[in-house]
Amino acid sequence: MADRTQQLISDLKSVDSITKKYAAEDLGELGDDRAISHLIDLFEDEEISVQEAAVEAIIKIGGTDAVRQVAPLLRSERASVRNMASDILAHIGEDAINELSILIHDDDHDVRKFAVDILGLIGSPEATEKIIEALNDKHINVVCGAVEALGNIGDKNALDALIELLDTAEDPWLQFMLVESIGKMHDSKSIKVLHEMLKQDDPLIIASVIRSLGEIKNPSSAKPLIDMLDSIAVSLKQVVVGALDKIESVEGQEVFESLDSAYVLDKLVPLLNNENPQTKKSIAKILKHVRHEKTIAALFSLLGDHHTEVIAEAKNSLLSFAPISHEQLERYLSKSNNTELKQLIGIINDMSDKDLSGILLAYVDHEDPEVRSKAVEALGKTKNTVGLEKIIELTSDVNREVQIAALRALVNKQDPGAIQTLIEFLTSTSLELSRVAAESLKVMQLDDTAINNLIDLLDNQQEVTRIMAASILAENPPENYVSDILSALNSSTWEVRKLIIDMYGKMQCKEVIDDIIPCLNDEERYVRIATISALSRMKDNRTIPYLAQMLDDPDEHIRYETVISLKHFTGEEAGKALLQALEDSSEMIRLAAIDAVADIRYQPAIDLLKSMKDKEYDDVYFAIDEAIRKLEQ
Amino acid sequence: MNISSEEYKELTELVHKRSGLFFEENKLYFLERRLENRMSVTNCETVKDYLRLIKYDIRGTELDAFVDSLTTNETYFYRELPQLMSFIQGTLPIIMEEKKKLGSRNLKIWSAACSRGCEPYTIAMLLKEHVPDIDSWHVQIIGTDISNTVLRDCRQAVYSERYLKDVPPLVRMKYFTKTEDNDWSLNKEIKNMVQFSHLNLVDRIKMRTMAGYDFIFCRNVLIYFDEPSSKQVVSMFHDSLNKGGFIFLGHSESVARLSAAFQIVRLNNSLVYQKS
Repeated sequence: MADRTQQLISDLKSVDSITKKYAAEDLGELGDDRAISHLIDLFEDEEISVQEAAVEAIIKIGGTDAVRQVAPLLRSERASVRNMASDILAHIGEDAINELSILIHDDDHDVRKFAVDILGLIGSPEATEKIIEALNDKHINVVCGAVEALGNIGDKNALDALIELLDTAEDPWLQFMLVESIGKMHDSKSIKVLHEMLKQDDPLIIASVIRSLGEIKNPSSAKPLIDMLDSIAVSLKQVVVGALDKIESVEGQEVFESLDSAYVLDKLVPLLNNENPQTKKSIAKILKHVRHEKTIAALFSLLGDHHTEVIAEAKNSLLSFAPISHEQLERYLSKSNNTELKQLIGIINDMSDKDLSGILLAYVDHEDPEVRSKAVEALGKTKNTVGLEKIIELTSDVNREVQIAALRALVNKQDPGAIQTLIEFLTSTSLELSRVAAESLKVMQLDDTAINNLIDLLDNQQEVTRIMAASILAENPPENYVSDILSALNSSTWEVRKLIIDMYGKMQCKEVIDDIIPCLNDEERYVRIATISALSRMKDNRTIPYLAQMLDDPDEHIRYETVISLKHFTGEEAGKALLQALEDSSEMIRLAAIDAVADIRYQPAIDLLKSMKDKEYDDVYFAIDEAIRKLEQ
Repeated sequence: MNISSEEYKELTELVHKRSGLFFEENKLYFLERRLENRMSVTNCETVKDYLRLIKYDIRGTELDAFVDSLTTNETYFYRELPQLMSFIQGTLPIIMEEKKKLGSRNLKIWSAACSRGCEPYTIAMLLKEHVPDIDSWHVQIIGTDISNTVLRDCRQAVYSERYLKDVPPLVRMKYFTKTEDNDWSLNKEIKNMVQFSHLNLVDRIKMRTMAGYDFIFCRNVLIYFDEPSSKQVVSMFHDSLNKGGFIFLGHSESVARLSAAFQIVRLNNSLVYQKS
């Protein structure tokens, strides 16, 4: 290791930049603090990428040695060196606090400011205490730095000191910084002083006060903020809406419900013409709480917006007004352009408490494929079979997205025709369509015809079809068809063999034990793993000797699966097998075996576990301790 | 799924260490189905059993398979075309001019974390369409990804309609053929321009073998990495580029935030990063 460090330190002096950089990176990985001073020399390198590699390496090495050598660089004439030193100290964190505590009393105010900034980045309670001391500094830059740092940390222990300073602060920049930082503390204790400051003339400070009131999220701020909307510039109106949005986000306060709805609408709706999508999104969110006949119209108007986040928020708020009458919905649909149609159809089922299949059928033949998709999707959510034929027809639409929507729409239709259509798509040469059909079938209740069809597909000439069919059967094991599926254990596709064995495992079907034991020798690892798992789920002690044999398998994963599977058994035979696993060469398997003997309460393992303790360390050592404790309880 | 917060933390740390991919606490929904699927394939009944399998398996095959299942992101042809056009019209002529001066007609382009191959194939099509003398150049386009599954798809180069939604009709007619299943198969002319290879962007040793590139595309990838991993990857991209070479990240990703070693250049109204 020492030679390697020396070689790398020597490489730091290479004329080749890449060699220097790689050496710095590797020294960082080694973590040897003898490299620190040599790495600091690279701060003078002409290549910035080399300097950056040196900085990252010192950060990785870390420790008080690094702090001691780097801290003096805060006095460097070169800004880049000072920045590198700051970066390192901030990343080193706690180990740097002692040194920085000295530097906040330095004669040089720039050094004091750096120290405060770095402590702010460290942000721990200890660092916070030191920064509060700096609020009394005689240099305004240091004080502003301390105020900003305290705001970023957000520790409420600093709030009283900041409010006290705000009372006496005269410098507008310091006032601004104080208000921003107080806001970040999110404490209602500062509400009174901030409301008072809304009367200020300076727009910069007012904006800051509004933002801070938003951060604090106190309901009492909503009314004064809405009141000021008439008398302020557009840019400030956006800030007010942002603050109201934050106040709205506090659950259970009913802030806007308690205000006069006509008054709130009157102030907010004109702002929907604003170009800023965030402002529109915030208003859409607030309107959810404004119960007024004109609110729904305002929200519908946002469904045609160009910004998806505005539309999403408007939809969300509209849903809170449900149910809306058939007539009203039809009226809005008839007035909608294609963009609005897509959005409205997307939520239409949730907007009404009545069945809307009739309305939706008018849109499944729409020229715009996105509207067709949304309509068929919505039709799929209705609880009846109205439009089922149309949905089945759309599974053959010219547009792939409409086809997918139609296949998904069939899920809720427990209808033999729907199931048959989905099964037919399993033979599609399109992997995407066959996957969607399979996902739909997995969550449906399948009748005998469907199960027989799926069993037939296990021999389909297309591999993907065979796998999809097996995955559906594995998801919903058909208990009356155990023997009909056995031949799939000889499938040429290993995924099919695995899925069918998983299926038998889920069914805990003991009658197939003799049929699946040969699969312990399958050529595919995952089939062998599935077999071990399935046999253990069947919990038949006859299988233990077969499983124990697998502990001699050269494949680590196979032995691992065997150990975790043996947890399903209790008794001497499983315990003895696990004792063998405790002496496995693989740490992973020993750990699993330690857990397993504890899980099955196999007390004869205690002696072996105790003798193992001397040879093991770290995770295995602690796992043994835990296991012995459990076994001795 | 029954997974404790400790198990989730351990799982995401293993993934992070292996791949650089970073999953915050609220991303359980994303991992859950994929984890269930891998547990079903490996017949692990508990998360604890599966965690032990990926943590202690020396060859790391199961961890690789799990990472593979996490990285199949949606992509499509001609994605973020303005940026690609700034490559074709802005940076490519600069590099070609420099190469001509040096008597070289070699171009090396790397599409890192290329997913299903839409990006490297799009680059190949754009070169064919917009660079008249491209056939007189020796162009190497390399697509790499951590997922062997998507690399198989890349080599097969058959795509459904949604991948082609932004492909201009004439380009579609020229380079794609409709299959019996209404999918689209990329013609050999473009397929032969791109090679694919397996690469983990945080594998320091293998990354050091990637050298001599004129352009690197790594768009919308680093958003899945945490800052230290992103810094490491960008630093290694810097090593892989020729002097004067360009790197393209996604719009929400910033090279400047991760490294000062690149020069920002304004070309055709867009900002690009160049190795100085």
